[in-house]
Amino acid sequence: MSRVLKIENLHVNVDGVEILKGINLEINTGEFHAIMGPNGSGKSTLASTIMGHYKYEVTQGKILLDGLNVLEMSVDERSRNGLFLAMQYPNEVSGITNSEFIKTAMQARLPEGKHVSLYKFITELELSVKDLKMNSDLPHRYLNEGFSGGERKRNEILQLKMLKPSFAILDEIDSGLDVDALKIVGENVSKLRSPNFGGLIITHYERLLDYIKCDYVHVIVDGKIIKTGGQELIEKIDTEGYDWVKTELGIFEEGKKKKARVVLGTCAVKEAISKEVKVK
Amino acid sequence: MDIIEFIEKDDFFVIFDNGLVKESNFISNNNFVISKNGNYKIIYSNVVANQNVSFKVDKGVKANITEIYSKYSNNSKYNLYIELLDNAVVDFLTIRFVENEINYTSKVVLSVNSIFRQINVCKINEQTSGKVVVELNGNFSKADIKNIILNESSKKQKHEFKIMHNISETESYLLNYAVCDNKSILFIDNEGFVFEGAEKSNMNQITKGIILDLESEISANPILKIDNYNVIANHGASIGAIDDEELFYLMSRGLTKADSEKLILSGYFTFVVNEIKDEKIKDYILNNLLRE
Repeated sequence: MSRVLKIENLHVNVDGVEILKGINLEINTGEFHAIMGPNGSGKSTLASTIMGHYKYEVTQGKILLDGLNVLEMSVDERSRNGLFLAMQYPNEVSGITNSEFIKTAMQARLPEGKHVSLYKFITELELSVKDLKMNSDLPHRYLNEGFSGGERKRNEILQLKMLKPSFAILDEIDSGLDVDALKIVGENVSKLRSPNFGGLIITHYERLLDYIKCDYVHVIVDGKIIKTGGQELIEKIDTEGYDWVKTELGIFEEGKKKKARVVLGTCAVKEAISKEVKVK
Repeated sequence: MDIIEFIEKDDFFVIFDNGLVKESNFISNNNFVISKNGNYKIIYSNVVANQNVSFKVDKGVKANITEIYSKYSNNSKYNLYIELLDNAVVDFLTIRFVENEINYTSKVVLSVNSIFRQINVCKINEQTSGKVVVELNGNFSKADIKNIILNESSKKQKHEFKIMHNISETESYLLNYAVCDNKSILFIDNEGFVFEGAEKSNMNQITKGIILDLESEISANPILKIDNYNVIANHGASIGAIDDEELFYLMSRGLTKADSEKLILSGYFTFVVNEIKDEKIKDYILNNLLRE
């Protein structure tokens, strides 16, 4: 069944500073959207706000999931209602194994009295670990403890595959990945494409998007989506950066004043005096 | 689960009832000698006013001793004395899940080359005070004590640990994992003594505490008295709340706040609980430790 995640005029503060200044976005299941933008433009703020991170204060606007107000839901309710955030910096949690954690999270989604089938869980987990080419011992290690950056990102995708949300926000899932790991992650996410799944992929670089074809590409600058396009936008950003977008739209980021043209009047005056002198 | 059910077929056991031996397959009074290798279960099955128990572990004996308190002991005072003779090795597990007020003292005396490894799991739902004294009296003796202390009683509890290095080349490790909730207050005093003549001793203390609400307190007090230059002695303490980012991470996967805290605490205690070999007892501990 198709679902829709709608963000309307979202304004978000962090420590009293406004970071998101009116985001509008609509994602349907079956679609992949990419969010790109320079550092500090608000991409991760958007991701964390959707998931309900305590540091981010929504001052205006709405986030609706099939018409339901997401902002009134707790973090765990958002997750159980079908949202998933693959973190940019996944936490270590000592003493809890990966598999125990994933199984507990799957159990949390079941109605009371129902239990996760152990056989099904183990089979699916082993298959997903194999698809992601993770070490077979990783599920039995403590949650992200001692994992490299790349292993942590793959672990996020492992959780995504097992929990099967309706919408996944992938916050710079490509950072810290080597070429091979990038391909594995990209291909695994791409395979999740279905009418029941929508993806919001936050990235700086084209490379991940070589594997995950996006239906829409949005450029965030200074807390607003300033341009939306297709794949062609990715290529242009990759070769020319973000300045052309800002120039095209006449956008200057807050805090950077527009540089005025300097008119040098003294040279013209000097010349006029010289001519007068000569004439005399 | 009735604590008597922990007694296995091959165990040596004694069941105390109101301070007296009710049933035992190896002893008939309160002072007894452990002279054979094996598993020993000491069950305090009934409400007692005072319970005095004294063990002596014979030379070279290896014993696994599990001491389990009844939930409904009331206003009781438990006094345990245990002496390890030369080369004895004891793995001692104490499980105190008690609803009412109790006070306990333990004294452990170690002879040459003896090893005492203890895990204390303590969840008492009333005010309590406890004291454990360990005397390392024999060269090369070693004490390794790990405590899990959970105070949700809304009352004050005090647990004192005193380790005395009385002779050279002795080792001690004291590790406390404490959790406080429900406006409770917990004092943990860790005293360590290295006396003159106890050179080349090695003394280590760590306390880790988690506070689950704003009105609870944990106070970890290290008191080290070292009277010798040629020793290793260190101590550390860290007390705080559950990391908000950890909580967010678990909740972002659909676990409620309560379940997330429970999972984090089970991970916190895992390092100690995983040392318990008996799976039935391990499950009993985890099920009783973590609040609903």
